[in-house]
Amino acid sequence: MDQAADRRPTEFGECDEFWCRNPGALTRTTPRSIVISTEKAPAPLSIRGVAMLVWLSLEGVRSTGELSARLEEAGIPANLAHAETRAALRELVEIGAVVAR
Amino acid sequence: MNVEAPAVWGDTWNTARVIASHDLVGDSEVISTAETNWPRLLTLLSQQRLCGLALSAVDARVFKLAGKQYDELLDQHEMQLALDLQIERLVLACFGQLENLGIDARLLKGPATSHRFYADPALRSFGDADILVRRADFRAAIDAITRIGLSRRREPPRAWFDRYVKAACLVRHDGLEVDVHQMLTPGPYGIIIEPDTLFRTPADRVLIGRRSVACLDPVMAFVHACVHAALGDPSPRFVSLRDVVTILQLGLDATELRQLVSEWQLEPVVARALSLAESVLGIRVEHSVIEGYRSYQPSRRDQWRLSSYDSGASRFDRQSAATFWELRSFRDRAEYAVALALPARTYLRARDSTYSERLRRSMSLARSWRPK
Repeated sequence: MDQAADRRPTEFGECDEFWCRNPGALTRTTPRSIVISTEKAPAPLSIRGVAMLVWLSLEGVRSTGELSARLEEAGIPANLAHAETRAALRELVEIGAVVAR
Repeated sequence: MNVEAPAVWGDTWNTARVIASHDLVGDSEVISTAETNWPRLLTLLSQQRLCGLALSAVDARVFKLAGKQYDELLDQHEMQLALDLQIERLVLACFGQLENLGIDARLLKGPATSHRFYADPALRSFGDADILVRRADFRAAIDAITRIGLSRRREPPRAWFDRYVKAACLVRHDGLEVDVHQMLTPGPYGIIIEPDTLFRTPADRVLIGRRSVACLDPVMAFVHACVHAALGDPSPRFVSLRDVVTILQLGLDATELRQLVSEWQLEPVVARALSLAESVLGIRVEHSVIEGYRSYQPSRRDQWRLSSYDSGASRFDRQSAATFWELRSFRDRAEYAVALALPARTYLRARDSTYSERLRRSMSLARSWRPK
């Protein structure tokens, strides 16, 4: 289609933390994903669902209220934030990344 | 200068226009697209780098899309964002090289604009990186960046001609481009805007990843956005025109702006950029800073300079001739003319031309483009 068309980011559906701990990470947020490039993995990845929530939690989000606000700031629509987010939130609460209030 | 909607795009052009300006006006019209038009609209949104703004328009309920169309828009947006990040990574590599050599540089346009002047950098994508250096550092900066795997796309007609070029385009093996600038624009205004004055005020900073990169202060960034919109491509992208309005709306020091515009004789350029932004985006820009420019009447000299940037087959030739007359010293004019009329043999061969042909053409252009 154009210059961008052959640069599709690799889809990366599972949670993997190597990238979110990288201080040189470059990111962009879309309503369904985070596109991320790190120094170790410069070819951008598109990360969806649970991995995005883990990233938000590691960025300093420490409560469900704050998480909702961050999702809203990131322009993530409510319908996406529902099913996937609730399930992911439960997991995050269980591992202690997010404190439920 | 008038930019008309290209006929090839039909109704999709107006849809793209509404998307490009939806958050710049109070009440934007609500738009949708017929299924048959969607592939063409998606291509246009991608070419104009408007996918982020299209998603923002969907979110604001200005742009209605079917579920499948929304997914396709997201796919395209992710691809563009991946390109944005690759360019940003390249920017960091270039600045790392330049800093190692003590070369002062300023990041221009794309990432410097999207991170500082847009609510979210994902709203403003770009296609290459532009880096400004001082004239004295131009060659050293090119050499530094070639050391990280980029090569110059086109050599100048004579080695000394580098003094007069706006920028050198460097390309990496994967097609990513970095333009190393020593001027903001080619043609007569490139000579009038003394390039090193762009470094006289302290740099502003933009955070890319966690690295702070030097860029132009907001007033200079606005002036550059105007120069790019008014004197760059004769059919500027929607995003280039949006930049003019977006930077302006964030607030600028009016006194500083007027001084700078006056010093660089850019009143007609700012006026042209604002007029283009308003007519192409279909909006009215209300801002006290610009009222003086809206009514600005260009002199004959202004009109002569501006016309060298108008569209047409001989645009480069016209700009070259106008540049010749704008150069201040006899020595500069002589060097400039000799390089263009009598370039190196390899340069001539690549263009399938002859010395007598170039000499004749150069003299004819210089005569017909004498200042009015």
